[in-house]
Amino acid sequence: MRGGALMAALLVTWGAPGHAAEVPPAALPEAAKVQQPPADAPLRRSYLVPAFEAAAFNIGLFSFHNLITREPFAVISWDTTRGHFDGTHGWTFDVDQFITNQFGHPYHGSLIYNFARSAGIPFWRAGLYNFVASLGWEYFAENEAPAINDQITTTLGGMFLGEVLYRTYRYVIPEGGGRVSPLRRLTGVLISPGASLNDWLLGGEASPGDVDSEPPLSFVLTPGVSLMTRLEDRTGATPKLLLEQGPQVSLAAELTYGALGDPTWSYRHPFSYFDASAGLTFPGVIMGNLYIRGLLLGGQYGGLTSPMKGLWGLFGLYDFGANNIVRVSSVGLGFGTTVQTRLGQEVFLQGSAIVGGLGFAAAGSLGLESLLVRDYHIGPGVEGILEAKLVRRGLGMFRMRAKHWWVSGAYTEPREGFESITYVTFDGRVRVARHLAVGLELPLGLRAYDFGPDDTQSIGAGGARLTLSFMPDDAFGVTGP
Amino acid sequence: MLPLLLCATLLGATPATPPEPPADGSTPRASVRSRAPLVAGIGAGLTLSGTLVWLVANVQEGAVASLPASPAEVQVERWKRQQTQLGGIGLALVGLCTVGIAAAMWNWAPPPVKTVSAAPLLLPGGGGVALSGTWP
Repeated sequence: MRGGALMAALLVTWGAPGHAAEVPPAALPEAAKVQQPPADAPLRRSYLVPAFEAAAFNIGLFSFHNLITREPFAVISWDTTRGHFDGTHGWTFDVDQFITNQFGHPYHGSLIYNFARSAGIPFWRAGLYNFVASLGWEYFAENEAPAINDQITTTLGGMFLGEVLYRTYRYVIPEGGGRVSPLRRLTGVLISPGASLNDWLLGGEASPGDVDSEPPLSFVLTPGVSLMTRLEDRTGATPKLLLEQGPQVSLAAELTYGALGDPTWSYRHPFSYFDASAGLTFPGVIMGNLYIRGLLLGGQYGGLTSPMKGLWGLFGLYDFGANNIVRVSSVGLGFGTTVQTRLGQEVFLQGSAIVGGLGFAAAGSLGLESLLVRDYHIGPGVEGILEAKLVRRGLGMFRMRAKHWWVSGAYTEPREGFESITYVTFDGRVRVARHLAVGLELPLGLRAYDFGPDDTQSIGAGGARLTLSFMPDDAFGVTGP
Repeated sequence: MLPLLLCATLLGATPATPPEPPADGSTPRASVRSRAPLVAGIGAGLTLSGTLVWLVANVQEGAVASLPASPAEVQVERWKRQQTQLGGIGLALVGLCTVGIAAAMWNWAPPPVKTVSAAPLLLPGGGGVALSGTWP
């Protein structure tokens, strides 16, 4: 409780000098807006520095595996490398540990990507560094067969996760190499070690020119208590209890960058809008998730005076979830929209609808192998996202979030069956004090999975959480005037 | 991710000092080029260390080969030394990459000036276009 009070006190001063939250854009004089340097303006970049850094990082990791952790996969030879090229030990899909494959590789990619971005490389070109670095790793740094899924998740997952980290870093440490407090500097190092290194190496002089300053942000930190989580096998007529988890601590955070509603913000570059959320529940059955979606290509609708403002286009999607019923992770692209409508003076309706194709997805059970026949599928798939949130600014909000994944088992033997996973969360919050809200969350889940015509099962899950939300502005995710 | 976002949140309490514009009389920041020798030194040190690890493990592998042990045991010991050699080679290559970074920093030049202009020339009975430009 004491920690909570401390956080609340600190959050009061969120709108620190230099951030958009302090002065509403509408209050800025027109001249000041015009005089801001264009986002595409001053460019200094080095293609060579991140290339050396990416090589050094990969080779350094390779050396770490050989010298310190003594990983068997790192013992390479001319024969193993030749086998990767001549096809005797060629490209395949691997089923390494879930966290390694679905979080470790994207995070590895995000580090490489941040080397490139912070050296001034634009979004898409920075992704090439991921691709080449991952290719080099698969060919030369492992004696195992190169994995197609690793190549996909390191490249695309690394770009999406990396761009979120880079833009968050740039919010904390602005471009230009100016003086910042030690706390900010430390936070910057934790968010993006690569960008921190390059800011030092290149004196803060490198800029990709596509990260606008002072983005409209919405941030909510939500610690809470998970009262219960229950999983049932609903394959038969009578549900069978699989797991009943008692009270747990839950921590969650949501960040919306380029939040809708700010009439001065434009969405000219990939990830000028993104939505990222993360959560962790412990102890006992540990559950964690990280969901990212960012606008890659598209446009905005709704003018300066329109009550409706929205975005549409192609979104980059990266999901990692080890939630109530299963583990699921995917990297893909989706087409959809996100919108905010003003219904009254302080009443807003926000919504998102996205349908995506997943180049690579993995889904399986949450350590219930002993109870189930088989525990995962990996393959291509589709994803749907549907969200609606009704907000009364300064008072509270009610929200429904639904995600659905359908993952085929096409990438591993036997190449049949599927996973169909649905999460729905109902979430209500009411403001009780300045920057503070209490709420109740009801997560529901359903997993239907199939390993052949006669082997279809389903698991249902439900839970309840009490939450305490800290917000910098009592706006419940609404930005703008 | 969560701890990072938590830190980012708490930063709201930290007054942000905007980047300082260059001011007359202030101490100029160290240039990129001035840091290059330090980075090159680190790179050289890593290269030297990695090479040493490689050489020592190489010698050890030779010594292990003559141990009075079963061939299987000798093979296991040789693999361990070979893995150490790989690590040493990798460390040396990391050093070389670091030296490469230092070289790029040493050559970190001001942004090239690139200007192109075109002007129409209208003359009695004719005309033309004059192009002028500056390239690095």
